[in-house]
Amino acid sequence: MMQSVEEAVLDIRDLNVRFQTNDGIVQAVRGVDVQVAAGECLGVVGESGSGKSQTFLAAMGLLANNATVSGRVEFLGQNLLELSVRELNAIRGRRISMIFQDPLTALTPHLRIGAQMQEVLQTHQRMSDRDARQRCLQWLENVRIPEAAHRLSQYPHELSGGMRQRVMIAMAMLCEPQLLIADEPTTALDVTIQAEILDLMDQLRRDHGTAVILITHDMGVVARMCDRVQVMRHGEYVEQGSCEQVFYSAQHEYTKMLLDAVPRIQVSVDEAQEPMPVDEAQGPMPVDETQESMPVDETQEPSEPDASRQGDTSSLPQSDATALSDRATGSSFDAQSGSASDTILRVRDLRVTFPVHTGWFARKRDLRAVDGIGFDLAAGETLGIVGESGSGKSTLARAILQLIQPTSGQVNWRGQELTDLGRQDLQKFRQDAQIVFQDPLASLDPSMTVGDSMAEPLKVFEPGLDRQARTRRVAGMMERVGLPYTLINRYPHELSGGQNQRVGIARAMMSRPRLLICDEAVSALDVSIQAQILELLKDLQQEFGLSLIFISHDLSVVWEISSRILVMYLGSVVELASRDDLFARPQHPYTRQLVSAVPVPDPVLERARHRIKLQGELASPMEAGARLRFLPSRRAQLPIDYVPILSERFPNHFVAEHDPLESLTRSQNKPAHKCSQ
Amino acid sequence: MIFRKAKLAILESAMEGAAEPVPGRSLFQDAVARLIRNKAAVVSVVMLFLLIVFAIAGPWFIPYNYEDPDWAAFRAPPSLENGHWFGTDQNGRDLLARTLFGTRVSLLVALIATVVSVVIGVSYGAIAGYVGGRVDQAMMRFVDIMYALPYILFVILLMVIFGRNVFLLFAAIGALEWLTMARIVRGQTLSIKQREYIEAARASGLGTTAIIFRHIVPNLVGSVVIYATLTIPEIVVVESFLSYLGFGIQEPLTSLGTLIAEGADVLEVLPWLLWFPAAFLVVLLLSLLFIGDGLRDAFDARDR
Amino acid sequence: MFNYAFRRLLSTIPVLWIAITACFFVLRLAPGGPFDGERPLPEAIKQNLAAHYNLDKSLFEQYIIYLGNLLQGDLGPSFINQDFTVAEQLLVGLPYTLIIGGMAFFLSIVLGITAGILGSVYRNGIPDYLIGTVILIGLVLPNFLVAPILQLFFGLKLEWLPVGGWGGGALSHIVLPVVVLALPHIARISRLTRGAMIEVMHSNFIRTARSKGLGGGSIVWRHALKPTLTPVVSYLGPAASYLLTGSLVVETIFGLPGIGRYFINAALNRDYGMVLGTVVFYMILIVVLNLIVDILYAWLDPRVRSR
Repeated sequence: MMQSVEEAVLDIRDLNVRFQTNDGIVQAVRGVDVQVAAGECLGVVGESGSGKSQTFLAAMGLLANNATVSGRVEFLGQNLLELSVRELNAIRGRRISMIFQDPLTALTPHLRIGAQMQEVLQTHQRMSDRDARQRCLQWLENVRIPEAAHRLSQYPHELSGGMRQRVMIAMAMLCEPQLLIADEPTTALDVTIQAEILDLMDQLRRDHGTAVILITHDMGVVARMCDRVQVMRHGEYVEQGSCEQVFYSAQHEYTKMLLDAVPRIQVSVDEAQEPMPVDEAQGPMPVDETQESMPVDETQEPSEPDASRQGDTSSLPQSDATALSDRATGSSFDAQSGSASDTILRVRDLRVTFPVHTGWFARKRDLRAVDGIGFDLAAGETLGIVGESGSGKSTLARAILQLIQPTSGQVNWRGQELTDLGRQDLQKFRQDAQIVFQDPLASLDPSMTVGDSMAEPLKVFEPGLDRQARTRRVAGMMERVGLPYTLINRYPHELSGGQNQRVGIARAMMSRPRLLICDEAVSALDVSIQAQILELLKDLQQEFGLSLIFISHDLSVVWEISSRILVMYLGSVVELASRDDLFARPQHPYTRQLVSAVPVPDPVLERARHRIKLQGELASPMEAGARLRFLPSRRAQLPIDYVPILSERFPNHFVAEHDPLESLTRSQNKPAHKCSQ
Repeated sequence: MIFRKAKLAILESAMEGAAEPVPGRSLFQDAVARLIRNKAAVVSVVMLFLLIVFAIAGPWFIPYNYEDPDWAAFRAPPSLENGHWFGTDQNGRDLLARTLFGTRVSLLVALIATVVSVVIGVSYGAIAGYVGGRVDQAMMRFVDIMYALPYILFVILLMVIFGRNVFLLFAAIGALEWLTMARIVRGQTLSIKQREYIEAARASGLGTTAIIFRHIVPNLVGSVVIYATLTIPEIVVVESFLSYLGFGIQEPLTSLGTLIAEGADVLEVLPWLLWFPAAFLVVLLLSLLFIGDGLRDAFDARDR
Repeated sequence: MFNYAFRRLLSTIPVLWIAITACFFVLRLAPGGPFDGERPLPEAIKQNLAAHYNLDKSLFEQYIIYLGNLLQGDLGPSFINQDFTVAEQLLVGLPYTLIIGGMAFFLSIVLGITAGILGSVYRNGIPDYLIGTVILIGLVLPNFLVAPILQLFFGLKLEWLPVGGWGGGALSHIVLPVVVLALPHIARISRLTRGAMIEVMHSNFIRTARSKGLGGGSIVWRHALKPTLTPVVSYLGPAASYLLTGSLVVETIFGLPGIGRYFINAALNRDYGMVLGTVVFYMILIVVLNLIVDILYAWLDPRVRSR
């Protein structure tokens, strides 16, 4: 049973929220009860539209005017819903404070950080300018923002995303509130930054005894942070209990389904024991290796060891490890494609640079979005590409598909160089290689019915078909991707996100491609839908012998679907290995940091984990020297834009040059996240 | 019956035992539905329609002509008995006939100038938006320049130089009113171009022309319609303004602006000469304004 | 900030140059010279006149001469009123236009923004509807219609205010022209302000400000006002040029001796020199106003500056 009401800081009883909309009244929250005790962290989990944010916005009196709220919200004995705005204002920001999902839009763009922070103190504690400034500085340091004094006079847009969220937290903690409500505080952030922000919040909670309500959709975050969990669905709590109860003995079907849908990275520890050096590569490799030995590309000899030959082909996979196993990809397509080990896509030293204008008179600079990437893809294989924002993974996808012109390098599709294809041949390639995008709604033309969208590739690739035949084909594919035929004349805005993504996949599959690139294809979807779409992709791969390139920022999703994984950092490869190998023995510090940062949806495991922290945040690709972040020892000798070279450390396990992890975590040299402005 | 059978046959062949597809409602249809719920806009559409019908058909039912004087009635106040419902002017010309004629001219100017401005604005904006980069920057800089300049002065300049030609007037106004349209179309094109469905279309092997006509243009229509509707009243005002100053439509032709200019001079003695044309102008502008606003709200369904 | 202002200043120079060049050539390419009046002049006089006005030189030379003179503040000669140069005539009219225009500009901004904020704060309340109605009148009634109606009502019926004339700049003479000139801009600015304010009040950072426990006044003034004003400020440039064109009508109707009236007269009399001079002068005025607006814009939005 939970704590008695006396102990509770916040006690919500029978809260209802209704919205008056054009389509009638919508009940967003239906009679929920919430209690939080001092120093406790309560997780509120739910998918989009479950009303989890609305509950607390209502409690804070922050909802729009078209909302009506009923029930009781007791905060330290006062019913917040009955307070006047003036009385409520004495509590907001002082005793209860909030942080929001998107730290860029949540800060006033035209006010300096200092001004925004100081006004909290001046409003609630009538502090003098000097004292307020002092307090703000101290809190910026508490949240570990470097050069705090300088930050006070900066504008929000001059800070990085992670830094902005730290500012939000500092601002929320200024008056040392009894309760902190965090609404998806890390959803907009990269996973390594998420880890740091979560740690920070956890530490603040311990140090100051602040009760925390953490609203999130991410089970991993809950597992890491929360004492108690409430699961919300359709405006109601379907399950509540201690973190362990909910994770290990969920009662409600919905909770079970949610937990089931979360992708979990499972690495058996013994695999990670003894790394095998490359020359003894005869040992048992529990790896879905689908590559044959790859000949060196003769056109490029490693003759000139200058800085521009990073990601060189010569250092790419060329071992003669032939231990093949196709248990993951299955053998269903073996018959048609001959062998699973056919390399169908070969990318060598691919580069895409964009000119960036920094001002009217400033010199034009090049943004190297993709900076010398090479890999091979076999038929029927799934290559996962992981990277944080700005790593160039989406650019890479578009460059492979020739949707943007690569600056240099080769993309070889079944023996043909794509870069020198004519229009006709390119058309054939387009039929073979398709893409699925992140935002299901934005990837469909809003003025077309979904049926027309799906039929469009047929018009191009099979102009001979008549209308009826096209409709038949569309109907067939709809059935295949699990869309009811009744939806064929609907428009995208009438469908749910998951349905639209199925339409997107169906459209991509219409031309029977051999390669499907999924660019963050499940990132915008709720976990349960995400799981279904992943399942669908695996099925389609089985049935059609598809090769998949699956791009995501989410390591656990990539783990779920990939047989090999490529880790990108600032446009180049830092590590490339089979999935199990990569997770069993990640080599590069960046990979290790990434792997350790992903929250595992298992409270006991998650809390026992050791997290690798490197100083600094993800650097911008425009920043000079950012590429040497993992090679600080050689900063002095190497050119500033040097890209570390890949080498094969274990059979088919490629790692970019780096300093040993220990030196990177220990050394406290210049932080890499200084703002580029 | 036959139709339905054929349709059913297709359905059955497409998918056995499946329920019939539900017809979807496009965003456009949604917007129209919202527009119909907007009372002010619906009333305005009716008013505008009536006004146009009057202006076009009215003159055939009136025994007077816009330029011939009625020698029996000079400066006659409005009355039902003598048949001059709106009265006559100093020259004995029937004001009703003149007002209807003036409305026609004003509407015609507005129509032609709007078409000119839409054609120029849409092509200019679409090219700038689609090509992008430096071309776009240069083209938009030019629009900025034009924006900053008092363009009515240019129209006056042109009228001074080339004489008071009605068609030149249409063209000149249209050629200078395209700026907003160009900006809006360019902005829309830029944002549509970056949408993923354009990339999807390219990945499906569609050529540039097909992409422009199948995916970009249909999605521009909404904003073009809205801003064209908002351009019409502006052009009506500009034409009236120029005519008022003596640079627009000249005797014996007339427009609402010319009529108002004439009426304003004798407001004290012959007030009806101002009131009737003014009422027509106001009704015209008001309904166009409400329709434009209604369209904008309907297409941009945010909470305003 | 200073850097930004300087860059904007530099970028206005080509703008002006292009505009002036365009005007010059359009006018010079016009059919018929300025001295082809109804009564043909003797050939000798014509040539003398042409030489005096440099019309015998090539078009390009004339253009260079014109630009050179312009740099020294010489807007060229008037072809009809030959006793005064264009600049002299404009200087006579300028104060009237500037006073009326400036006051109307000020009035539109103050009343427009106030009305817009009131409308958004009391959204869908009685003040909002009252303001909305006034705004509608301002939007729909063109100034050449409002002016005679106000003249009739306040001047002739109530006899509160004079119908026209400068009257030595007495307030009673200025009120009507300023109101007529300002009315449409009050309407537009308040519409812009209201819409922008409503949108800003729905934005995330306002929610943050509210969650910090700030009072309503502080939220509106410190957090919401600046972003609300951005669209308003970007309208001020075009508004300045609309005001100038509006002054053409207002000065004519109220019989004020401003440059608008000079311009209308010159245009009706086909005084090319005067027309060109006035247009060029107007353009300089407006480009300068736009420059000020741009700088204001950068002050409002720090993100613009760093671009």
